[in-house]
Amino acid sequence: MLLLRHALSVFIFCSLSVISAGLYGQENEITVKGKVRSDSSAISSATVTLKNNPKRSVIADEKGNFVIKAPANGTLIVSSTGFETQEIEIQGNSSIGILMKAKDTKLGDVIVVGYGTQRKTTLVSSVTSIDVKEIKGPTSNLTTMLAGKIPGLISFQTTGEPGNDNASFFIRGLGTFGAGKVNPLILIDGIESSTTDLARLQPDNISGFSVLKDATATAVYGARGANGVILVTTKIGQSGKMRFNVRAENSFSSNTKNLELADNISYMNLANEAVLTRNPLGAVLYSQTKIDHTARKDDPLIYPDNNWISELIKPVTINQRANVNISGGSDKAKYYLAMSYNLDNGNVRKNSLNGFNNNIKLQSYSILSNVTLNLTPTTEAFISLKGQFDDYNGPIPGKDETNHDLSGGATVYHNALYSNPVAFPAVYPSSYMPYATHPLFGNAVIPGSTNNLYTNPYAQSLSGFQSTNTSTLTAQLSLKQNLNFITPGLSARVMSYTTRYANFAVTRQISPYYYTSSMVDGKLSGIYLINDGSIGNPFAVPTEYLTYAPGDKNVNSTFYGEAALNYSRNFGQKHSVGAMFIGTLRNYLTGNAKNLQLSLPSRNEGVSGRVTYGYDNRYLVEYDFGYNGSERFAENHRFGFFPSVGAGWVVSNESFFQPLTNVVTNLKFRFTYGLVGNDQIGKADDRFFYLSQVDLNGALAGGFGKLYNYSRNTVNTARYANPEITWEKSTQTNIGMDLTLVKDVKVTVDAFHQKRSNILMVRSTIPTTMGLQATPSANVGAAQSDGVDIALDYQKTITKNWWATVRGTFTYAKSKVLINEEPAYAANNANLSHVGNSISQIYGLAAERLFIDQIEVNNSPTQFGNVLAGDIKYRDINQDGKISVADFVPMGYPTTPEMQYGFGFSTGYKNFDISAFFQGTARVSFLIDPMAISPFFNQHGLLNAISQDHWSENNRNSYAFWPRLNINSDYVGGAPTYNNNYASSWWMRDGSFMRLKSAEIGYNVSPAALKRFHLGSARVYVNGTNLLTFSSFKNWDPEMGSSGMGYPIQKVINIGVLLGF
Amino acid sequence: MNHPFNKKYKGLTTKRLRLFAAMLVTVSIAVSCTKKFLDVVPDNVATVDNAFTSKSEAEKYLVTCYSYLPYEEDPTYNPGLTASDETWIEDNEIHIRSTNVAQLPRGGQNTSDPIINYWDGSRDGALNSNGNGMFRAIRDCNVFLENISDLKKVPDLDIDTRQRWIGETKFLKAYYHFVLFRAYGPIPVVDKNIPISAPLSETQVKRQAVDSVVNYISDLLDSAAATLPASIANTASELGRITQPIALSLKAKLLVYAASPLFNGNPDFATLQGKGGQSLFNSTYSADKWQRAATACKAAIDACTAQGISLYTFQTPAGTTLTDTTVKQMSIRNAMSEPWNSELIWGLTHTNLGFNAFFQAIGGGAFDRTYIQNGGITYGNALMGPTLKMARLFYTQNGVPIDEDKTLDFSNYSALRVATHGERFNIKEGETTARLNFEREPRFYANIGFDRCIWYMANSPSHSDENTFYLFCRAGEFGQNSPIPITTMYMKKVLNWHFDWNTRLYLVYPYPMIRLADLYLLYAEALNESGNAPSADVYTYVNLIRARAGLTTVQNAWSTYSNNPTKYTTKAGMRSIIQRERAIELCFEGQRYWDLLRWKTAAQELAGNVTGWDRTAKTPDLFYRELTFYTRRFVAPRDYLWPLQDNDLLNNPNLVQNPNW
Repeated sequence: MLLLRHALSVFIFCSLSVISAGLYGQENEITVKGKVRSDSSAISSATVTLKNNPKRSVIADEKGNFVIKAPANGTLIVSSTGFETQEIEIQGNSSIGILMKAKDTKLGDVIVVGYGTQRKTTLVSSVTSIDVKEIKGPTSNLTTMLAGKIPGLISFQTTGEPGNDNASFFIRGLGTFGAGKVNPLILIDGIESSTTDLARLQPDNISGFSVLKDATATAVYGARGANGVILVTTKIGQSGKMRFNVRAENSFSSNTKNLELADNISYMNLANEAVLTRNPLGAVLYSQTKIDHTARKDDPLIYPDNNWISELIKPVTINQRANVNISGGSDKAKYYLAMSYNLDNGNVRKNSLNGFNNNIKLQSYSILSNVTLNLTPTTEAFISLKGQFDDYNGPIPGKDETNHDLSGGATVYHNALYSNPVAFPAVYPSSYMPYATHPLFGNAVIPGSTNNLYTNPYAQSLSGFQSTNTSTLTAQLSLKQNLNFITPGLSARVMSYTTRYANFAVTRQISPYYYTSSMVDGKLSGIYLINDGSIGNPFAVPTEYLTYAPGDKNVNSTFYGEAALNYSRNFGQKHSVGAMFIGTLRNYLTGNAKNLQLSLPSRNEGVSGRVTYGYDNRYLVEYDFGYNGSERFAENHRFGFFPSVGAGWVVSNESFFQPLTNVVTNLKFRFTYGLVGNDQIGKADDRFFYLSQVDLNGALAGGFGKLYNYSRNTVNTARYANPEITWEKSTQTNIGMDLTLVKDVKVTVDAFHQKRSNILMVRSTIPTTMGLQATPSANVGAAQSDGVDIALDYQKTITKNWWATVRGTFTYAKSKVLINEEPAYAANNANLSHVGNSISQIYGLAAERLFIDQIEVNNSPTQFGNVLAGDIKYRDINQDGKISVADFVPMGYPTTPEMQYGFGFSTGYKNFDISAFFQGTARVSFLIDPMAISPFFNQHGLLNAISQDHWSENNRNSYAFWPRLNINSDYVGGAPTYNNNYASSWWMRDGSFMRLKSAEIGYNVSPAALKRFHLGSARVYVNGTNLLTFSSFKNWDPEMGSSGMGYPIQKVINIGVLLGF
Repeated sequence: MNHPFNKKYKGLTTKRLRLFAAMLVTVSIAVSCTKKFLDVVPDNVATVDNAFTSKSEAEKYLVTCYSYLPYEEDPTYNPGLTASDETWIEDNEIHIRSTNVAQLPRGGQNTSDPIINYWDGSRDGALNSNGNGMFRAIRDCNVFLENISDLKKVPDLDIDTRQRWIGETKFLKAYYHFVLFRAYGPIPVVDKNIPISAPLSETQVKRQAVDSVVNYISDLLDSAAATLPASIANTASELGRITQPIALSLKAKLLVYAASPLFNGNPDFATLQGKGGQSLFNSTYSADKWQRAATACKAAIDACTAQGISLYTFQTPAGTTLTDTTVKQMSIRNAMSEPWNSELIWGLTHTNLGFNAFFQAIGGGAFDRTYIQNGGITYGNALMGPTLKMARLFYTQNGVPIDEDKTLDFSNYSALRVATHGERFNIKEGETTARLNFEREPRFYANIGFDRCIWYMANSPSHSDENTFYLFCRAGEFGQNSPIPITTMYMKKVLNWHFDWNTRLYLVYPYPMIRLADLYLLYAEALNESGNAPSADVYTYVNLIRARAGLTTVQNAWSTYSNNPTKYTTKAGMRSIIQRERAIELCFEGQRYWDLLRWKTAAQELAGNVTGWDRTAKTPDLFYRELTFYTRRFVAPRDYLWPLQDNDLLNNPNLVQNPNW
């Protein structure tokens, strides 16, 4: 806003200049007509000034046109807010096109920091500010575009399901292993926001995006800043004529990679093999007759031959996005209004017989209204209203084999792999029951059972839908008062906002009608209903009508207020002094608390401050602090003090350096050190660690008396009081360097070291003989992380019509557990210790290879259960003669990537531009969950990868992808009991990959054409994301890691048009 | 700086000052009221202290101590029912969680995640899988005892009730220790709670030697018995709570366990030592332990008799005509499944009656053909059935084992035979079934529901045992949904006689934890072991049980019918007779499994083939083929004791693992 006011005063000043310009005439003057434009559109209100006569100045109109009288050999200075000021020699031309280069905010003058702004040149902390154009892409989810674009940010996405596709991101990697908050604090215009709020932001409406990475940058957030902070500011109006921008996009979305299922002949043959290879006398599952008939495709209704992926999933889905924004204003009032609509469809197939849509359909709407009012010449009010509305419709969520919740889209994909492809047809043609008004879904009773039907994933997918509606409304008011009349450089500000969130879900579904075929002489004679709803029929009664089940309802409300004093002044030429002092308080209420303690308000309050001093633009020091309180802790632990210090040295401003400035334009070293906290520790249900959580009215027990009807409530303790619990503490050190070479190559390097202590851990080593009902927690854990972030930028205007930029980022962050709550392991079990390993280290058994033969099995340490040749052979790490969980070892890289990088270019020639960006992730591993893809287990289908490469009597390959087949790879409550299902190095894969993350080709309509259509600007473009992926892992998109059976990440091709009026 | 608009807005200067003042005030208020703002917790948030402010609140805590009693009436939780050789459950049976207790007889016990883990309360080793292990139960008992012993707490609690509650909680604490002892042998005794703030090293308790564990529990039971009521006066709301006879009976059982071969002079575990090197198993045999057990049994019997607890006999209800054959069987059946019958010493009650109903559903065979044929729902839970071994274990009608009877030949027990008119109260007249099912003792017919057996029920349409229900369980007799246990036989005794297929409501009964017949047999066993040869009382107490079962005395039966006529005269012979008598009398009551362990006969009995008839067959000739479903293995001596979880040993270096695990 400072910037804006600055711009405003320039504007006023310039206007006055224009009036006075006529007084100064000169010889040899010509009339110069010109047009000011940027790569994509005309720039209005640019200021064009004569260099040797600054009083002669004009303002370009809204189409960028200007007329100025100037000496034929004169020089024009062209400036406009947000663009780099240019000097243009007239050289006698009476018509000049001026292409303005957008000011790169990352390296620009002023960037957003905690509770304010700072000049880039005086900054000592590690803050990355990126141009929002960099994170624009054909997606409705901003978080999916962050990977590789921001140095110091590690980001990955494990699903592409609309509505569920937020990426995970960590500033400088994962710094803690507590059960609480591990990801950054997100503030949008100072409003604390969720990842989804960030995801739904439209890049069109963003003016600033900063990532605060070190202690000096985040200390003002005190107990909330330990995981870093993301600051986003939305656009505000510019005074001038109303501007109207429209963006419309249509995109084609498809899976980056589908799971490949084997053909069903292989399926049946291998299912039989899976039986016989374990029990030569076992009954085979599929008769040769069935296999032969299926192979001949005799009758798919009698010999079903389903490929569930292709039957359930559409190859391509089409989505639309639109954003409209209007801005403008006068010197009294400015406004920026924006509306957007995004439609994201899933790729689940529908059935025309259903009256409802079971596919994923996420419509998100948002409105934004930012109004700035100058109440007095020194008082500014800012009123912002934001509304975000999500209407979601999608398949009914289910559960996986280990009873974990799945989202709706993931359920469809899960069922596609889960279900038997040859037991029944997906649906019978309606001609078999012409009068039925429901789909004739196929099914069959599972052989050997009396009352269990198969899962028909097609019927499941089509049987109903879940819809959720989410609204987030925020109203924000801030007042800024210039207090120059008290002392120059002083200003004050108050801001408060309230956020109201409401969400509810409902489920509506039918119970499918399941039919099976009746046969006469091997021919289909008709079909009959299996679940006929009669008395004695054990199957769910079918319904054609929908039943309804209410889902979650969540409402909450937040109030926040802050009041700040700012001081910024230069004394003389050399001393610049800045100070900021702020008080904040926040109150959060929820309407969905499960118990009294959780129903109490969540509150934070604190004071923070910053003092900066710069001497001669060479020596910079900064001190920041936060003093914060949280209601979660006992009175003596309620407030924490988080100080930090920083210093900077601009070497390039030293006189001795001047000879080098032609090569090294700018060189600055920075150092910061400080303490930050994290009060969001523990699970959400564990708010008041200093209080015990006792339920005096627990479940009934007793049942005494003749009729067993005398019962009393029981007393249960969910938590024991521990008054000592307090924040997580993070001590951070940052050393940075900003370097500009030959004006155009800009390099920023930051190295950091973080030590996180007081990590809340469950004291799991307390023996169970203590008989505690809840395991206590304590601030015992500690971890450290180290790493480096590098950003590189190169921008060059090569010729008048040709410009190019190249960018690259590199992030490396490695974590290490220092203190972990674990038993004091003896030397032969030291392998189990987490100390010294990464926070997200994978642990598992060390698989050697598959057993070669029974002799080897007999002469090896005892494995799990009855092991045969072709089963995984594990190493007995602790040498006790048997394989057990005590033989787990750390292996591979962590599951959170340690390294992420990105590089790309943009270039434009005349009206065309093209850009591409590659993103890579390295030093990451994941485990395949063998249970999830075990063929034939329960009703599981068969992955082609397993069909192609498994151990068998004929292919005794000890390094085959899949061990000896088994139809019964059992597990218990999520824990495997079957030898091959244990977490082991056998299932570990390298998760590193590189992909063409985004690419774009654009065309900016030429000014002549614009004029014809009365447009200010127009651009058409084609872009895409996730277009190419390079990885050694082929079964699914490597970024999804161990969730590869879920809804795949999307590859998107998009066509868009951007119009300005 | 000379602002161009200054003149115009000059008048607003004071306004600006006020605004500034307001901002300063806001900031200072925000800073100064900090403490209050963060004090969101009201004063009266519930704590444990609230549980001891009044009698009605304290009663909840007492009930909480009761709430940890394992669900012994449910085969899903009770290894005594499921892992014994009496029954077999199909693999992957959906009605009984096939992943925990059902894996025990299949060799699924392990150290990484032990099945029926009473220690940590996982894998159904407690009332549920939410982790309510026995040590949690003990901690709650200790909390209750600490508080209730403080007379300043619960001011409205009178001293008599207070003493009674103390006695009940001491009993429960003893019982939870007993459950652990039965499974693990030497265990840590937790007499006092270790404070939650104690350093980790203090929480790392040690296992105590078997003898001292037994003495601790025994003393605690004595102390409990001293303040427990002799009987329940308020039967309407207190039946099921602990009485003095229960405490004394548990003590009797505990001491019999302690005197049994597993714990008395067992050389197999002589090497098991605690971390300090002390021996956890006393490997010297002591006959005194049997004497002590016998004394405790007698004391318990006397206490029970004084309260009118007596062997149950069935009274034919008015309006019904029953033959002696059926009355005898009803005495046997109802001694288990008639609620609050005269023989019950400790009946387990729970709020959730479904556990008992589930157990009964398992016993409920398809005997009511009329109803079932008219569209009755026959699928259900009945998928756990008696093994052929159990069916063979019952005596002949002469009261001796089938392989000892010199008058009846059972060598070809699967031979087919047609039931005669005279046999019509046991087997449907004119129907064909196996030789095994003919000429057996009343307890066979009372306990085993076999194909074509008579199944008398309270709703018998004839109001008599003539023309009453009979069982059919050959393939296809009720369509594809008919549930037949894999062995084809049902646990008839388990189903209360008031069950009606028409309503399918189960009359639930308190599960017999201890009944008088059990106590009599324990006494006979202890007496027999403590002398050199069986004394008269040994026979007396066994014969009391046999008489109720409609059998002649041991002496008479063996002398007259056995091909080993002097067997009962020796200590070893009588031991074998008592053990068989226990197996028969207490079958399907969760006792035999633990008996086999303490007798150290499990290595033979819990191994070998599990067999039954062929339920897939439709005709008798195919149906009565003995099929093997599983070959059980028992690894001795390892499997006599439960393993400790690996994690427990890692977390507490003072613990030692049981041998060979």
